[in-house]
Amino acid sequence: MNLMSTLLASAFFLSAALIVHVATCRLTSDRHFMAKGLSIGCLATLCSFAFFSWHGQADLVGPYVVLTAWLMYLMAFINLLNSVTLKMLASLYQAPQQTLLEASFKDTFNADAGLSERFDMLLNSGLIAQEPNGLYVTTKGQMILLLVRIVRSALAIPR
Amino acid sequence: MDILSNLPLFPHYPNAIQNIAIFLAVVFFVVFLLAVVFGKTASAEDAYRPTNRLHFRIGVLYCATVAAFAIIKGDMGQQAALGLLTGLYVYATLHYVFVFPLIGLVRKSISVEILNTIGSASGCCIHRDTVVNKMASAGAGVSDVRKNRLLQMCLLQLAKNNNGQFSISTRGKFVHVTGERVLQLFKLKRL
Repeated sequence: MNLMSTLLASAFFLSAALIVHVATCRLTSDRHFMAKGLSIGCLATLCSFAFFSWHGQADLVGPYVVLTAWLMYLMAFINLLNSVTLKMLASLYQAPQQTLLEASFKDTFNADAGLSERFDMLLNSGLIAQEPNGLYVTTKGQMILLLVRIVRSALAIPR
Repeated sequence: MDILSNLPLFPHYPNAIQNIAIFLAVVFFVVFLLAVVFGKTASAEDAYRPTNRLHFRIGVLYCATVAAFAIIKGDMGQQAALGLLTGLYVYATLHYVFVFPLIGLVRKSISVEILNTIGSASGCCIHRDTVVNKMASAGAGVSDVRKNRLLQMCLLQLAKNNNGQFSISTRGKFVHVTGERVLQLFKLKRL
């Protein structure tokens, strides 16, 4: 296969994954959105790798294109769903004359509509756990923290 | 070229410039990564812009290198151009998929900040209210996050700040409307 055929085949796998993802989201609840998205993406990447191998071309370009395009697509969703900045933008769009004072953004992000939701999300993901004495980080959460520390150290990002 | 063809899982397309373009994309990304690490470009308050600027400049060097190879080999046709575009995609995605989100996660994520605050507590456990207070005293409280995100909104040119009065820009309107339509298509709701 030449490069053009590889790219066209990758586009085919991405299109198929996108159709499956839209159908899955519309037909099921919005729970486990990331798990569903990652599963569909992994499946599409593995299928593309199998397809290229079957054609005697076991190189990484085709599956890499499928995987990275899918990850960028999911990252756009993470931002769309969780971003505080975009929620503030939505408040601004809906405001009279699309103008707001800084203090008016308190409704968009405050201790209830912001931090509480994130605490619940961390509990549901198993990254933290609740005891009678308070919250603590689980082993899973510790691994995330270790990754964060490594990246912070490598890229010299201050705390 | 023989060295490239011996690399496992490396493409062996008929067009040599395509193979070179993809190989150099990975090489130049490694150069970019080393420049970010040793240049500490992600340590600034606005980490995104210097990092993206560096990525763009090294990207220009990459394009020039591939073009030089194409000129030397006398192959400047459509296939070479396709190879360069694919290489640019590889170079861009290695940054924007694997490095850029990590910077955002470490610098901006509220969930990571909560996790960090709980993890740094002395003793086995910490109450939710204590976490919120500790984050506020560390400059990562609710009002700090709100101010930071408003600043981010203006830096991204999604809104304008006129003496404390924020108004949405044309780009901001487009971003918002597009986002809403996508969420509707997938029947999803924001956090």
